[in-house]
Amino acid sequence: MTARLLVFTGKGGVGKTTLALATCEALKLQGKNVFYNSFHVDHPREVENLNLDYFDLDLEDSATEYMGRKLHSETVAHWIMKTPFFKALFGMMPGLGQMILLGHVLDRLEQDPDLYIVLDSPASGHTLSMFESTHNFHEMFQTGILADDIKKMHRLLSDPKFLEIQVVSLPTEMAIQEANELSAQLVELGLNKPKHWLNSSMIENEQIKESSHDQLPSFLKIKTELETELRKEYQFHSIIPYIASSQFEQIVQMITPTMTGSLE
Amino acid sequence: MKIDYKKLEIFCGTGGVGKTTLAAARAIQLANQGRSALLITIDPAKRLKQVMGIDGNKEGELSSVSLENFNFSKDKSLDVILMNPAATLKRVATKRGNPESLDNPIVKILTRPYGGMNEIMAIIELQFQLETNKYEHIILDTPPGKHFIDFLQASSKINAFFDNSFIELFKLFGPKKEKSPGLFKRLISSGVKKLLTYLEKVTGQGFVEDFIDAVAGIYQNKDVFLSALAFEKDLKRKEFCNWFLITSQDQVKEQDALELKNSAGKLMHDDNFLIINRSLSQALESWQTNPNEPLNKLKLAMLERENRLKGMENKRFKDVIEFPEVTPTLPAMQVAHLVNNWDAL
Repeated sequence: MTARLLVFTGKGGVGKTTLALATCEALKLQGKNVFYNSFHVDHPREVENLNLDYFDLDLEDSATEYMGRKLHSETVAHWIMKTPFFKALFGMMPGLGQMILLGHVLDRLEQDPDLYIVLDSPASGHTLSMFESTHNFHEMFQTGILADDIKKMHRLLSDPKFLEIQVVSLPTEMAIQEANELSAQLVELGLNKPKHWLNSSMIENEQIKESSHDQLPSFLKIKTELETELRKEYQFHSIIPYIASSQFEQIVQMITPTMTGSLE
Repeated sequence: MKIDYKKLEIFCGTGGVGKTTLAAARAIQLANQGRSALLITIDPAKRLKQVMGIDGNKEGELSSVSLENFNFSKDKSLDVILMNPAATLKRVATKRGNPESLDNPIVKILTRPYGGMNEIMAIIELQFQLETNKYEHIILDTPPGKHFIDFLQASSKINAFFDNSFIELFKLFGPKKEKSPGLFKRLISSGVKKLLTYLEKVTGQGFVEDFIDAVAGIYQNKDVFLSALAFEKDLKRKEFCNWFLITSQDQVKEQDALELKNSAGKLMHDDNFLIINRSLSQALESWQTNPNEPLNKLKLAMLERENRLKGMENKRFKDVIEFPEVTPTLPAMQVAHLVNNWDAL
């Protein structure tokens, strides 16, 4: 059984978006109601090309909606959000905005028990900011409605049936170590141990598998040998092949079967 | 290729393209030429931190790194700061002579390494270092992708923070920091009071008091925060800085890179360099394949990736620099290799 909130993270450029979109495809093929969200106002254009469902979150709208619910008045919430004071507050404390967006995602999942959300989250450091923001603001607020809401967020986020974090890396020592560091930091924040995905594996590449090692040019020999060493040293939840294509949508579709297998 | 020496060099690009390593190599190259250089870096991988000698509790502090670590002369060194927002804030407040003015729980939480203030504090650190006039060159590694734009806009965010409505707020309780619990009650200006009443409903009272205290502390140091605005003007001066947009062969993200260039271009001068990192040009050129064998498909896909990045050349860059893929596994040797590549330009 798959958790209903799947968060993809890892160092920049490891293929978070590719794996997140392939996961959406895989869940959709299983007949699940799945939405893609990237935490930005704009979704990547590929999401539409792939015919996937998505929702965009606007920080100001989310915050207004949240405030409106808490203060039982949309008018007051609109007025508050329009003040320079609040605009400046959000500008200076990006964590507050991230926390409200995260709260929004959780709300949706609670309202619809059949919904799955794949969150294509920002690169390592900014993902830590997002998950740490709930702790930081809890510490700041201590009491009040927000503090109670944050406690509820923590309960949900620590439930393995609810949230699963997927850390993506590449076959280089620096990328793998960074992924492991990130996992350890997320565990320290009270989250469940993330799954580690190795992306762009040259050894699993279709064309390389069909050829002998001697046929490879020297730079690919070096790459595959390094990867062999790394795979002896480190453990991975799943390994995704390097796809010989520069078309993003095609890459997503070609790794979808591997994702389907790994989700079960 | 001629790269003029400038006071500041900015390295930006989408995540994982090798900004930090290339910036470090550039700073080492300059130091190796006997120039005084400071490298300001943001959240590098742990292994790179170790070779740069900024592991553990030295985060945020100025450390001197011997070039011997990279197999260059042991008599030469460069200075490195791994950005830490709390350390920057402390330096800034100490310079103003009132380090205790920012001794506030909210400020402390927000300036933790992942507290979310990194972009704003980075610009303050940079301005602080520029003003010391200690270095011939400052090499700046920036946050990935659109966070770089956040960084460039940080000074206008600071400005917004000191918006008139805030100044109004401070007039009410004066510039002197007070810890008295009655502070909140003294804010009688109806608009502000109403706003804070709503805020209190959601956040609880303790927060509002701590918040006012935090804002008062920041306000006391506002000159330092606002000095970052000077930097915004400097960014538009070609003679002040070089900026490098980094892309990497292993990522097909030329659209993202171009978007970044265009957004940054509105805030900076356009005399910029495009770097194609981990380039496989040479390796692919010498790789002979038969059109019928499976590997031909792999080679063509790799060539296509490289060519899409090269296609960006026409998009108004001053010059394009290629860095071939580096194979050594030890980070120190990777950096040393890249220093030689910089030298060879």
